[in-house]
Amino acid sequence: MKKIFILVLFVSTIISAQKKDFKYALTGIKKVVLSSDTAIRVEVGTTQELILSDSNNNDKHNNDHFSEEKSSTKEDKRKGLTAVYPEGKDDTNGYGFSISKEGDILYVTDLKSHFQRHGLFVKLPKNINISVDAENLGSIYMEGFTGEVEASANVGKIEMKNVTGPITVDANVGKVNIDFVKVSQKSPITISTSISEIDVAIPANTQANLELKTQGTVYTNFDFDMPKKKGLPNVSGRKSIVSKLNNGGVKIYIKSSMGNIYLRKK
Amino acid sequence: MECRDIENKLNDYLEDNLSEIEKSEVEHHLKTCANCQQELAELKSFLAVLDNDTMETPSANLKLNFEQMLAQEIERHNPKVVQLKPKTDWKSYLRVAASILIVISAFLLGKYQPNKTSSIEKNTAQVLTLLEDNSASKRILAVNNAEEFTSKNTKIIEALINRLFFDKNTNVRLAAAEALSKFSSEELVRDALIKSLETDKSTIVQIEVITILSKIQEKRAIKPMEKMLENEETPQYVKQQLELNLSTLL
Repeated sequence: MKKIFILVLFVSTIISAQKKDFKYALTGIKKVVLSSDTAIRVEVGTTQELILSDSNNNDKHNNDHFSEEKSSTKEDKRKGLTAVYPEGKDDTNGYGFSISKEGDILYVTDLKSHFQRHGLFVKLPKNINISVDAENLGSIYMEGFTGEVEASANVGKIEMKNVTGPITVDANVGKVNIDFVKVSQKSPITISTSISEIDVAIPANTQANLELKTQGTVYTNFDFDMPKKKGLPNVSGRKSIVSKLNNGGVKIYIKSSMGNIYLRKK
Repeated sequence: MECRDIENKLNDYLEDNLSEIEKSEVEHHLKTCANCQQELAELKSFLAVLDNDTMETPSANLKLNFEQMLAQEIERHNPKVVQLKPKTDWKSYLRVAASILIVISAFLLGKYQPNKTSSIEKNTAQVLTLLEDNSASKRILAVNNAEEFTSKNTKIIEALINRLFFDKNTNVRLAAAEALSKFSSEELVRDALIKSLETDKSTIVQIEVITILSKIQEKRAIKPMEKMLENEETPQYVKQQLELNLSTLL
């Protein structure tokens, strides 16, 4: 009796889990372009597919008896209808995303507004190229990708862990925190913000041509060969620090208009 | 007449080369001088010995030997002459080879020149295609490479301006603005930078363009900058930059 109960519970959780997630096979796709105005968390999945799910926030809602009832009545109302948004039609079974394919690029665009979306959880293959745009208020967290990563945010922060690059990041007000597991020599790494601080950690043996530019201050535990300039003192504060790490390599350009830069040696 | 003179003339006397007067003088003297008579006799006998001595003709054998030796010598010389001929030929061959070498090297030099220009064209094409790449990082790489070109390369400059205006990625626009600042002597570039100040929504790009415009002392930027300063939507930190850089422009 107990065993059957556990089995039923297990099956029902699987069914509910399947209901929750949207999956899309990524055959022939080299790059995924994702945009959403919410807290986006992208992690490495085990399959060659895109998996979309609402973040843990939604689970709380489901646990709440009242909201569950509410959502079920909502689902009844939606029967036989599809959601339509100003930017397009829902391609994701009620997830509110439009999906379109152009060549080997897959565009995944959030159709819902910031107010309707409470976090997004995405799983993608480890080596795929990813471009994430958190639009105005969204933030980005990514972990473990070895492909090329582009991330853009305005107010929200951008955080990456165990990435290799090439990486192109721009934030405006939000902080940027990137932790490289190793630095790919393929193409340049660029990180820029206007007023927020940038915190980057790279392995000690990284070969790179470094350029750091800010009106704030640069803090590091790397030993740079600082080019000694005679003559005029640095008045404008717009000059950049250019240095080679371990005899040089890929270009790493870190620029903050006004924020501090922290470059850490791992 | 003395005996010495006569003695000198004796030889001619015997050979009958003297004039009549001299001859009679010599005969006259000979009759009186026994010394000279003896001298004459000795001379006569000496000449007789010479006359009697028959000319020794070389034997036929000798002639044969000589001709053999001559033939040998000619033979020995002849191959040398033959050897010498090709030697002089080698020199002329060398001359021909050198002239051919010069012609070929001149041709190759000429060929290398167009090669160089075509490699620039090739690089331009490479950078232009890379500027359209899907990957933002690759586009930034292309923008960085584009900085290496001269300001005469309008294709590259136009492509960079295109990136500054239309690239979706902020960092590519930023890199394009920085690259264009190196071509700021071009009117085209200055116009583009002013235009981008009015249109770009990203504050990072705005701040970068503001600093570039004040650095190149572009007075035409004052108006749009003042306009931005008056705009309420402009964030405070951008206004700070505007005030700072306007002061250096005015």
